[in-house]
Amino acid sequence: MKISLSSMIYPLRCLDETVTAFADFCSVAIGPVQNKSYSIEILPLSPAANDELVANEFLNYLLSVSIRDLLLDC
Amino acid sequence: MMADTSERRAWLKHVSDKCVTFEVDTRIYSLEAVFRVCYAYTERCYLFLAPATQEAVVTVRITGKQHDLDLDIIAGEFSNALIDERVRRDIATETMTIRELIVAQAFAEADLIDRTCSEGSYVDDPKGITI
Repeated sequence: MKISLSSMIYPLRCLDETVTAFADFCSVAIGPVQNKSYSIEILPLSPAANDELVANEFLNYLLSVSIRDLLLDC
Repeated sequence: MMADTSERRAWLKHVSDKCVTFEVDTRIYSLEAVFRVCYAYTERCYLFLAPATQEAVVTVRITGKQHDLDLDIIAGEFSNALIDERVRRDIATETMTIRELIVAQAFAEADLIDRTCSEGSYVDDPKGITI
Protein backbone atom coordinates (compact mmCIF):
# COMPACT_ATOMS: atom_id res chain seq x y z
CA MET A 1 0.00 0.00 0.00
CA LYS A 2 1.52 3.32 -1.13
CA ILE A 3 0.91 6.41 1.03
CA SER A 4 2.05 10.02 0.74
CA LEU A 5 3.09 11.61 4.04
CA SER A 6 3.89 15.17 5.05
CA SER A 7 7.27 15.53 6.75
CA MET A 8 5.82 18.44 8.74
CA ILE A 9 3.31 16.06 10.36
CA TYR A 10 5.28 12.82 10.25
CA PRO A 11 9.00 13.60 10.69
CA LEU A 12 11.42 11.09 9.16
CA ARG A 13 12.99 10.31 12.54
CA CYS A 14 9.54 9.17 13.72
CA LEU A 15 9.14 7.05 10.60
CA ASP A 16 12.45 5.35 11.36
CA GLU A 17 11.25 4.48 14.86
CA THR A 18 7.97 3.13 13.52
CA VAL A 19 9.65 1.05 10.81
CA THR A 20 11.83 -0.51 13.52
CA ALA A 21 8.80 -1.23 15.72
CA PHE A 22 6.94 -2.90 12.81
CA ALA A 23 9.96 -4.82 11.48
CA ASP A 24 8.30 -8.15 12.34
CA PHE A 25 5.07 -7.27 10.53
CA CYS A 26 5.95 -5.37 7.38
CA SER A 27 8.71 -3.92 5.29
CA VAL A 28 8.54 -0.28 4.29
CA ALA A 29 9.99 1.34 1.19
CA ILE A 30 10.61 5.06 1.68
CA GLY A 31 10.71 7.50 -1.23
CA PRO A 32 12.73 10.74 -1.36
CA VAL A 33 11.47 13.89 0.40
CA GLN A 34 10.05 16.36 -2.11
CA ASN A 35 8.26 19.59 -1.16
CA LYS A 36 7.99 18.59 2.49
CA SER A 37 6.41 15.26 1.65
CA TYR A 38 7.54 11.74 0.97
CA SER A 39 5.91 8.49 0.02
CA ILE A 40 6.09 5.13 1.69
CA GLU A 41 5.02 1.69 0.56
CA ILE A 42 3.99 -0.75 3.27
CA LEU A 43 4.42 -4.39 2.39
CA PRO A 44 3.13 -6.89 4.99
CA LEU A 45 5.54 -9.79 5.58
CA SER A 46 2.81 -12.38 6.02
CA PRO A 47 0.78 -13.19 2.89
CA ALA A 48 -2.23 -13.79 5.13
CA ALA A 49 -2.06 -10.30 6.64
CA ASN A 50 -4.73 -7.73 5.90
CA ASP A 51 -2.87 -4.97 3.98
CA GLU A 52 -5.27 -2.24 5.09
CA LEU A 53 -5.16 -3.27 8.75
CA VAL A 54 -1.35 -3.35 8.81
CA ALA A 55 -1.20 0.06 7.10
CA ASN A 56 -3.74 1.57 9.50
CA GLU A 57 -1.93 0.21 12.57
CA PHE A 58 1.38 1.43 11.15
CA LEU A 59 -0.01 4.93 10.55
CA ASN A 60 -1.58 5.11 14.00
CA TYR A 61 1.71 4.14 15.60
CA LEU A 62 3.55 6.66 13.43
CA LEU A 63 1.08 9.35 14.45
CA SER A 64 1.59 8.53 18.15
CA VAL A 65 5.37 8.73 17.78
CA SER A 66 5.04 12.02 15.87
CA ILE A 67 2.74 13.46 18.56
CA ARG A 68 5.22 12.51 21.28
CA ASP A 69 8.03 14.05 19.20
CA LEU A 70 6.15 17.31 18.68
CA LEU A 71 4.98 17.62 22.27
CA LEU A 72 8.45 16.96 23.69
CA ASP A 73 9.78 19.75 21.46
CA CYS A 74 7.25 22.25 22.86
CA MET B 1 -30.81 9.04 7.95
CA MET B 2 -27.63 9.36 5.87
CA ALA B 3 -28.98 12.34 3.89
CA ASP B 4 -30.10 14.07 7.08
CA THR B 5 -26.69 13.52 8.67
CA SER B 6 -24.80 14.89 5.67
CA GLU B 7 -27.07 17.93 5.62
CA ARG B 8 -26.39 18.63 9.28
CA ARG B 9 -22.69 17.85 8.99
CA ALA B 10 -21.80 19.24 5.58
CA TRP B 11 -18.18 19.59 6.64
CA LEU B 12 -17.87 15.79 6.78
CA LYS B 13 -16.93 13.81 3.72
CA HIS B 14 -17.81 10.12 3.75
CA VAL B 15 -15.05 8.28 1.90
CA SER B 16 -16.64 4.92 2.66
CA ASP B 17 -18.91 3.28 5.27
CA LYS B 18 -16.04 3.15 7.74
CA CYS B 19 -14.06 6.25 6.82
CA VAL B 20 -14.74 10.00 7.01
CA THR B 21 -12.57 13.02 6.35
CA PHE B 22 -12.84 16.66 7.35
CA GLU B 23 -10.59 19.68 7.31
CA VAL B 24 -9.17 21.57 10.30
CA ASP B 25 -7.80 25.10 9.99
CA THR B 26 -4.56 25.23 11.99
CA ARG B 27 -4.92 29.02 12.34
CA ILE B 28 -7.90 28.30 14.63
CA TYR B 29 -6.74 25.03 16.21
CA SER B 30 -2.96 24.66 16.40
CA LEU B 31 -1.30 21.53 15.05
CA GLU B 32 -0.38 20.76 18.66
CA ALA B 33 -4.06 20.82 19.61
CA VAL B 34 -4.96 18.60 16.65
CA PHE B 35 -2.22 16.16 17.67
CA ARG B 36 -3.37 16.03 21.29
CA VAL B 37 -6.95 15.31 20.26
CA CYS B 38 -5.83 12.71 17.70
CA TYR B 39 -3.85 10.95 20.39
CA ALA B 40 -6.97 10.59 22.52
CA TYR B 41 -8.80 8.92 19.61
CA THR B 42 -6.11 6.44 18.52
CA GLU B 43 -7.61 3.79 20.78
CA ARG B 44 -10.98 3.82 19.01
CA CYS B 45 -10.02 4.90 15.48
CA TYR B 46 -7.30 4.91 12.88
CA LEU B 47 -6.30 8.50 12.18
CA PHE B 48 -4.39 9.96 9.31
CA LEU B 49 -3.37 13.59 8.87
CA ALA B 50 -2.41 15.22 5.59
CA PRO B 51 -2.00 18.83 4.51
CA ALA B 52 -4.98 20.04 2.49
CA THR B 53 -4.66 21.95 -0.75
CA GLN B 54 -5.25 25.25 1.07
CA GLU B 55 -2.46 26.64 3.24
CA ALA B 56 -2.70 26.06 7.03
CA VAL B 57 -5.42 23.45 6.64
CA VAL B 58 -5.02 19.83 7.67
CA THR B 59 -7.23 17.01 6.46
CA VAL B 60 -8.13 14.51 9.17
CA ARG B 61 -9.15 11.03 8.06
CA ILE B 62 -10.88 8.86 10.64
CA THR B 63 -11.41 5.15 10.11
CA GLY B 64 -13.30 3.18 12.72
CA LYS B 65 -11.57 0.20 14.28
CA GLN B 66 -14.93 -1.47 14.74
CA HIS B 67 -17.69 -1.63 12.13
CA ASP B 68 -20.45 -0.52 14.50
CA LEU B 69 -18.74 2.81 15.29
CA ASP B 70 -20.83 5.84 14.27
CA LEU B 71 -18.26 7.99 12.51
CA ASP B 72 -20.55 11.03 12.39
CA ILE B 73 -20.67 11.02 16.18
CA ILE B 74 -16.93 10.40 16.44
CA ALA B 75 -16.22 13.32 14.08
CA GLY B 76 -18.57 15.54 16.08
CA GLU B 77 -16.91 14.56 19.36
CA PHE B 78 -13.49 15.09 17.78
CA SER B 79 -14.49 18.62 16.77
CA ASN B 80 -15.76 19.38 20.27
CA ALA B 81 -12.51 18.03 21.70
CA LEU B 82 -10.63 20.46 19.44
CA ILE B 83 -12.55 23.35 21.00
CA ASP B 84 -11.87 21.97 24.51
CA GLU B 85 -8.19 21.74 23.72
CA ARG B 86 -8.12 25.27 22.31
CA VAL B 87 -9.85 26.67 25.41
CA ARG B 88 -7.54 24.67 27.69
CA ARG B 89 -4.50 26.14 25.89
CA ASP B 90 -5.90 29.67 26.11
CA ILE B 91 -6.59 29.34 29.84
CA ALA B 92 -3.13 27.82 30.41
CA THR B 93 -1.56 30.84 28.67
CA GLU B 94 -3.74 33.33 30.58
CA THR B 95 -2.97 31.78 33.97
CA MET B 96 0.67 30.88 33.35
CA THR B 97 2.12 33.76 35.38
CA ILE B 98 -0.04 33.19 38.43
CA ARG B 99 0.58 29.41 38.33
CA GLU B 100 4.34 30.00 38.22
CA LEU B 101 4.07 32.40 41.14
CA ILE B 102 2.05 29.89 43.18
CA VAL B 103 4.56 27.09 42.50
CA ALA B 104 7.53 29.38 43.25
CA GLN B 105 5.90 30.48 46.52
CA ALA B 106 5.10 26.90 47.50
CA PHE B 107 8.68 25.78 46.96
CA ALA B 108 10.08 28.86 48.69
CA GLU B 109 8.04 28.05 51.80
CA ALA B 110 8.85 24.35 51.71
CA ASP B 111 12.64 24.92 51.59
CA LEU B 112 13.43 21.32 50.71
CA ILE B 113 17.16 21.67 51.17
CA ASP B 114 18.50 20.41 54.48
CA ARG B 115 20.81 23.22 55.62
CA THR B 116 21.70 21.83 59.05
CA CYS B 117 25.09 20.67 57.79
CA SER B 118 26.06 23.50 55.45
CA GLU B 119 24.93 26.25 57.80
CA GLY B 120 25.48 24.46 61.12
CA SER B 121 28.25 25.39 63.51
CA TYR B 122 31.33 23.16 63.82
CA VAL B 123 30.94 23.55 67.55
CA ASP B 124 27.52 21.87 67.43
CA ASP B 125 28.97 19.14 65.16
CA PRO B 126 25.64 18.17 63.51
CA LYS B 127 27.23 15.23 61.62
CA GLY B 128 28.93 13.83 64.71
CA ILE B 129 32.41 13.97 63.19
CA THR B 130 34.25 14.61 66.45
CA ILE B 131 35.99 11.51 67.75
